[in-house]
Amino acid sequence: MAVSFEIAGIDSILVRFSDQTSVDLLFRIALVQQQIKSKLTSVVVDLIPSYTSLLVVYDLQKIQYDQMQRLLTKIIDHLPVHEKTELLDEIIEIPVCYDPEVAPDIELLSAQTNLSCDDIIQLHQAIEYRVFAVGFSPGFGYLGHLDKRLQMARLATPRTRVPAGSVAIAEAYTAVYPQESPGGWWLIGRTTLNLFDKTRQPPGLLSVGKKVKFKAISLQDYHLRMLT
Amino acid sequence: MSLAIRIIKSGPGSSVQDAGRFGFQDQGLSVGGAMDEYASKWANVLLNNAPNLPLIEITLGNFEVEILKTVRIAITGAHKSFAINGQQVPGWASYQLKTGDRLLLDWCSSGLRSYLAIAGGFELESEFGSVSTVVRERIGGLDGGLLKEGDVLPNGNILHKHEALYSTPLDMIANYDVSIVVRVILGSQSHLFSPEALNTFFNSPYVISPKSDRMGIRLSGAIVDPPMAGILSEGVPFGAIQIPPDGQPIIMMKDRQTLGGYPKLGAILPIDAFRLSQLTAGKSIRFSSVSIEAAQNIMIAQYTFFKSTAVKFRLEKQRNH
Repeated sequence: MAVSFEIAGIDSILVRFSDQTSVDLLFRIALVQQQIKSKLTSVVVDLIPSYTSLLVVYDLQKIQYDQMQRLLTKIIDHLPVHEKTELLDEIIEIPVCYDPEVAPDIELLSAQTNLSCDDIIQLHQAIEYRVFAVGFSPGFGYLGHLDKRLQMARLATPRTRVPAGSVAIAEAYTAVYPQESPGGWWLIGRTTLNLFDKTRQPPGLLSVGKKVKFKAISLQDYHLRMLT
Repeated sequence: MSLAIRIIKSGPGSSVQDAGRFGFQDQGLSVGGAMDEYASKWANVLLNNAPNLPLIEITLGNFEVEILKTVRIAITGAHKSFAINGQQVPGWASYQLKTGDRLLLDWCSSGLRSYLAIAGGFELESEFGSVSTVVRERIGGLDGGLLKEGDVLPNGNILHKHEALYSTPLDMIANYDVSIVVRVILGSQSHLFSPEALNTFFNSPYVISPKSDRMGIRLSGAIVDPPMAGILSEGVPFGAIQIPPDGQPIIMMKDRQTLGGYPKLGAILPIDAFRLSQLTAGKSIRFSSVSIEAAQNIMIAQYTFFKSTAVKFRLEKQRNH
């Protein structure tokens, strides 16, 4: 599928790269985002990459639709072929405690999937995930793709309160809730890592295209880390 | 910088806002910002402030402050009048106040939101380049939340020494009681909607639902059949018209989430979104379409107006109100 441009709003263009998600596409979107950041910073206000698209919000007082589309076309047509997006090589390791004490849905998941809790933990840790989108709340990343055996529909009744640090799964994705919020995903663990810290630069650990791995820690280790 | 006001009554939804938080949507941060930029910009320019300085958005009213120093303030938006020390005075105007004065905005009788601006702007520590409060994210304002009784706010330095008091010309004060036609820039998934769905959308009245808030204005009316139940989540721009499976449109406003998974018909013209944010539940609207070129020209003229001397010229004539 060729790249297409859609009018999204008064000052936004949606660049649609494909209708299929893939890791290769994430590289391409991240590269375009990087190029826009370095070449069009004076006219671009916000960039929202996700799955198969990139929303470009521009400064209407400086540039209008047609001209913006021409500039974006030029960038996409002249993407550096061999340029490695180094930021995508880094692996973010997230320590997770899968103990039922902090994983309220892991036993129900085990019953429904016919997998033991240990199998679930193994399967969840085995994959090197990629960030497909960041949104829903600050620092919340959609990490794909889950092993097919762990793919479940969202909970029928969402929780009104999911604790911060909850590691969750739904459909083909896994995620960490950076803040306490409502949520309808299965909670299978808890991390001590703060995924969104206002005082950090950048505040969020995750960005589209980055690699993420989960690593099991014991309940004792979890409590110890929470203290420090 | 020194303390300027103390909140006596906070009302049900008062918060500090500015133009919003830009450049962090890829981290999942909402833009936020004043819901009715037309009224908020007027409040600032009545004080010779830059149009986007931090001010207080007052939802519904029942809001009272005590003044802590000699300062100029302006009120615009839903309150056509308010009280200074018990005396009713017109809104959409600036006033000079002194220590101990009380300013009271009763429950509003038309519209939803008013703006209290202060000469020099309210001065708060910004987070990610903005002081706009997004309560859901606990970001902005004094502590990420709504203003509450006892809160004290300082104002910034007044750059332009201007003692004159101004009011907005009558013909430019918005009337929130009249029904409006909201202009739509077709786009996003609009080409996937059936001609019948588009026909229904453009030829039916829609009523503002009481479930509307700073995230979205929910409408109820004739069902617009969406081409699919959901899409892969993508960035959602200001004013986007989402059509969920129940066919009842939701207009995405300032506190919207950055990503959305419902098909969209396009987005509404921002100045119409500002008006929409003032309509109370039960009010009815209709939609018409506008080209991207025409829409952009309307908005550029709007931005230019608030930054130009044209606005000051109009104000100058009103100084002896």
